[in-house]
Amino acid sequence: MVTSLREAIGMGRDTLGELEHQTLLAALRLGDGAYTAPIVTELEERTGRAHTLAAVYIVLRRLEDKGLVRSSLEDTPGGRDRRYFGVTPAGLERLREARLAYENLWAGLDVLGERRS
Amino acid sequence: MTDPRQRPPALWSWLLARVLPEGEGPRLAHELETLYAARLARYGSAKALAWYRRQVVAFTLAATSRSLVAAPRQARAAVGDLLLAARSLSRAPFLGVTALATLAIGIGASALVFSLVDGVLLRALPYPDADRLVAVWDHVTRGELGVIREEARSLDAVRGYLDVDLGVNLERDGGAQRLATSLVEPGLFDMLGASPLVGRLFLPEEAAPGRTEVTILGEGLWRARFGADPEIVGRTIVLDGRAHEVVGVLPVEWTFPRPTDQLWLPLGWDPTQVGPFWGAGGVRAVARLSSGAKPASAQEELRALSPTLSRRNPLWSPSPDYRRQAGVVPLRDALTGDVRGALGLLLAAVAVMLLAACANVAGLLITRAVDRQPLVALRAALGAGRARLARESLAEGALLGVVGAAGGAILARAGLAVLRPTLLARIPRASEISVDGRVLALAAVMGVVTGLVAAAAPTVRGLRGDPGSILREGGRGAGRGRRRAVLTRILVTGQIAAAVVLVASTALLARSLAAIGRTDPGFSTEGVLTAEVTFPSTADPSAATGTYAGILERVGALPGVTGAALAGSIPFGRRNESYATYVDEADLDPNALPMIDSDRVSPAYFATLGIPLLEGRVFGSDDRAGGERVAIVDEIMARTYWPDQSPIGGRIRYPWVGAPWFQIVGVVGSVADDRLGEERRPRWYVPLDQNPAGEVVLVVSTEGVPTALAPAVRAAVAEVDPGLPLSRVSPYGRLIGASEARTLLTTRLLAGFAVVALLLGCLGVYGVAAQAVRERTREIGVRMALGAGSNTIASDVLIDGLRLAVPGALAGLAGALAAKRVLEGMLTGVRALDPLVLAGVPLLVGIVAVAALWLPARRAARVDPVEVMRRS
Repeated sequence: MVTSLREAIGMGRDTLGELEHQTLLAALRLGDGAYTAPIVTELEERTGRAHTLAAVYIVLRRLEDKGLVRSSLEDTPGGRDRRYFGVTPAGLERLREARLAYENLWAGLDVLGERRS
Repeated sequence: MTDPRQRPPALWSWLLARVLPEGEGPRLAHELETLYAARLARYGSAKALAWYRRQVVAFTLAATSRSLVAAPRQARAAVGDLLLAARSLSRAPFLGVTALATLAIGIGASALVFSLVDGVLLRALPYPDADRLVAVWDHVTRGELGVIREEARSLDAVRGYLDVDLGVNLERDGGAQRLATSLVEPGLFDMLGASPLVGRLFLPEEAAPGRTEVTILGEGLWRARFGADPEIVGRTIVLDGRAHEVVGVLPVEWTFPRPTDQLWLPLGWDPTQVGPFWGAGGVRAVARLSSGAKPASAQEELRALSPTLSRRNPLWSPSPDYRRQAGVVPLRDALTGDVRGALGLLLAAVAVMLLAACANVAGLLITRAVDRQPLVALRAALGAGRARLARESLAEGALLGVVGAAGGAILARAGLAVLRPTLLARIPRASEISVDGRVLALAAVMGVVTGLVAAAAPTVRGLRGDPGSILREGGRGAGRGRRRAVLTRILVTGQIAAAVVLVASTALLARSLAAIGRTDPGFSTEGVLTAEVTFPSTADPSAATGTYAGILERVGALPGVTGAALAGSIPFGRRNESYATYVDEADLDPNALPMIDSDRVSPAYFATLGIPLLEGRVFGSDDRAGGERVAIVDEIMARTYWPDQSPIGGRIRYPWVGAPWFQIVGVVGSVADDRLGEERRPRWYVPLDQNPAGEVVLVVSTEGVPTALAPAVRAAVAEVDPGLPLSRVSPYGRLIGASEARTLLTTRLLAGFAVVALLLGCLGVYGVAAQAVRERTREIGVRMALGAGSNTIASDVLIDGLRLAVPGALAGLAGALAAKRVLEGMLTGVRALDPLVLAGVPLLVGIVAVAALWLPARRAARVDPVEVMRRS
């Protein structure tokens, strides 16, 4: 039985959504310091779009369910713990595929008036 | 931890804590706080706050969808039904908005009135053992209260207070401030559970004569005049020229005996002052019932005490009849008794209005159900279960009800905010009124019930139709319209009836107010200014007479002033003096002395207020201290005690031992007191100069606007003695207006409800007629093609509409007659069966109905038969 629209129209269930894609990249950029709040800030500063903490948090947990990130609780100097997120090898692989797909699609296009190879 | 100023607002944080995912709550909350602090520093508090709210809303939505996924099937279905209902209503925005506005107004008004009833009548008084507190009689003397305290077994504490504003002067640099002051017996505030902000309450010994004088301040005075000085206790302030030690401060919420009190003094008992102790009434008392005692049993006991009271009182012995008039009533009833009628009336009025609103929404939903009948029939034919269809229909009603209730709650809150300042001055316990959880819960229940009831009719109808026949008729059948019409017609008739009841009640009250306004008070208020002058209680009375003369001379010489007089009390003023009185010529039972109102006035009093002299003379400048003691009686007193003869030469005196006789020298016209509509009581006057008063009212008549004179009068009094404060400066007309203020407020609220009910009825009539015209366009076209004129068509529509309005108006009249019993107590000078109202209101409603029918009638008259024929 078909359980979702995405499945029904044949989108693989493991395609990266845009926010998932961007969240993975932001986590990657932050490296060891990647927990929810700085990821939100990073997304906002890099893309100019302000996502709510709730949205980003839900995306992170979904990525974790998919095995693309893993999380761990670590103590901070202030005495409270934080949930840090790190991109797994599977996550890195998925990012690489996505980038390749985009680059292939962009190859030779110049609709935006800029030279791309 | 971060600086508290950088923390997000507590309410939103609290909400956030409810909706964060389990196990991650504290972590995410902390992260949000950090981000909030960063935003605060960068973008300022408004933007940071908006951002934070958005975060909370996002988590709330996430939590809602999470719990929906986890919720049982029925709950999910219910939410689904509501979402479906929301979508289907959003496709009919006119209907949705009209129904919501109607419900919001109906529920809002009901919630508002309920909050008044709840705060004033239902909720327990905010005192410990409130259900055991009783008010004991009205106006006993101090001596009698002492006897009651000693003898009554069913009362285990009896404490008195004076329910008049004593008004003391607080000295301050270069002048004096008059303070609203009450005298309370030590122990009264303890019994009522007062807890001072600082310091303590009065001690029993502090009321004894000759003790250090003490006072308790109100929080307002403490903050305004003493800068909320925490060291105030033990400090000495000067009241009426005498040093008083401050012993405590009561919080601003403390409103006993009167909400306006700024200061309290201990009520002392000096048995050696026989006159005031046994002769002057005016003391009120609060008592606590002993365990097991009921107000009725306490009343019995006090009545049995009556002979003892008469025996112990050396001055006068009221007849048993006098005692029987008063009794022991629960304190709550004593404090709120006289607003019961008005609140009950308003409650009934909003109930009627809510019914009308409910009928209106039901009418809207029925119209819509009929329009959608083919669709519903189609779905039923395709196999949709009846339960499912019914649920959808009821869900619409419930949704309208819930959203309407939310709107109503907002309206009620706003309404209360607007009314509160007025209420505070007009009704007891007004400070306790709020739109709180109870009121909101009631609004929610009213909303859902109203919504479901309104949706019930269309639901039942929707289930009854046979899908096959409906689909065959193809949405054009005349039968549908007729069936629907019966129900909506009944509803609209009910709305008209509701409007008539409310409009008639309002009209009766308004006519009563107008009648009261026309009542001649017996004196002239035109161009008269009144102001209170308070002498320090230490002032020497004989010195006061010099000051009186000074004030009258200076004020009388002001340009534009035509008369100036002083009086110890005036009609419609705050105080009245009433004494058991010996009247020598009348054959009076010495054990049943009448209480008669008496005023001390300066010679020009009668001329200034235009009170006519009927016989003898008014007071003159020779009627001063040391002269022969003289008095003037009014015509009612003359008629009552000297029937068929002249009272001139008669004698009259106060009750206390050694009180001198006054020789009657004149008869003047009677005046109204307190309420214009009430029967006038006997009254006598004595010269102010022979009986100086510590607090006097200045009345000044002028050719111009009285208020314009106020600054000059103030200056003139200050010239005589800068230490004399002038307070409550007001045109006389306003004092009289204030006595009817509560009826006026009730009338205004009622008028608002009546207008809404009338509008609802109007909408109902319009809706029915418009729908009928729409459904019968084809029929109308055919009739016109056969030669019917547009006037005939229009008048048919009108007559059809009036068939709703006339029975509705008749039913409404019947309802108004039923309401007369509620109203009768509030009416003065108008009969509850006032013919003008009985005839006028149905006429008015009829005119409104015709106005509502005008548009549909015009539309019917403009139907183009050719166009109709072409379409069909």
